[in-house]
Amino acid sequence: MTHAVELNQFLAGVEKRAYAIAVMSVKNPEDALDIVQDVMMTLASKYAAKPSTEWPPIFYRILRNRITDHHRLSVRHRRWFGWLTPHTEEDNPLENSPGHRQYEPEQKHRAVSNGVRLVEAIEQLPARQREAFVFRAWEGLDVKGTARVMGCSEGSVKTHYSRAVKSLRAQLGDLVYD
Amino acid sequence: MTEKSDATHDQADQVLSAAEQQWTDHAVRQLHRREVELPSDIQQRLISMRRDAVAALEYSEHNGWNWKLPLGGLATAGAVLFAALLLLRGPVPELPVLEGIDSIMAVEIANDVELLEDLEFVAWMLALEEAETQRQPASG
Repeated sequence: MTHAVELNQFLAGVEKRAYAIAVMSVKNPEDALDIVQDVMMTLASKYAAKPSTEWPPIFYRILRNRITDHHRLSVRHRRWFGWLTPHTEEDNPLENSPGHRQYEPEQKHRAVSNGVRLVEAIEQLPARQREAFVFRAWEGLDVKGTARVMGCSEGSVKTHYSRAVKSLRAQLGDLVYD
Repeated sequence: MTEKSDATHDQADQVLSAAEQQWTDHAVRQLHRREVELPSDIQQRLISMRRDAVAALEYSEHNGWNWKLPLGGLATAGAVLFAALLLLRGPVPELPVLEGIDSIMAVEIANDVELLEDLEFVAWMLALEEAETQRQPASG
């Protein structure tokens, strides 16, 4: 199998998840698409020659770095140009937290069934816990791979992951059971 | 993906209780369902991005040697030409070795024209003095 075919298969398997992770982190679909495109091109141009078994941690490591870069740029932009942008109600993190968002009964059922509440709860996790949950549980990387992506020790991954699950379970309880 | 997720939760990695693991598996299933339900325009753009990335890889795989080959050829030709020039030049003439002056000093002195001229002058003075001392006993 050529590299191109293998890469196509790999990207087809991770692109939607990568987009969902990016959107969860940067909260903007266009920015998330830009990030995913950049990650795909970087993997294809610089790391495609590596064995395909190494692609998942490399791909998510690049994704994580791009998301971090995006946050750094946003902070810098806000620091210099923040006074130009008027604050909106959406900027209030308390208003947007899962506990504060009010759903009508029908909305609530839809939100639960399509995982909206779950995603909102993941978004509210501290960054390291969110990363541990996303890469370990959602992407299914093992502890070693998650540690490579997050740039920390395996023990640290286990701690963050365990805390993330406990926190999500405490917030959502049985809502994930359908 | 769920199978992979389940498979990777081996004993060595286990940090969750059975109930937590069961809860997480359900949560992950919900997340995977959300992936499939992405808006179609987003899905199309992702497919297009993937094609671009694969095309970039294919292009570099097929055309990567096109610019490297001439460069490699040029470098080899240059090296061969340089070696041939060295061989054709023949042996490098050796610098004259002065008595009591090692080669490094000789090179340093040669670089300093003024010093060389001074040395020539001193040598001329010494030769003149020697000639005079030889003449004096003859005349005396």
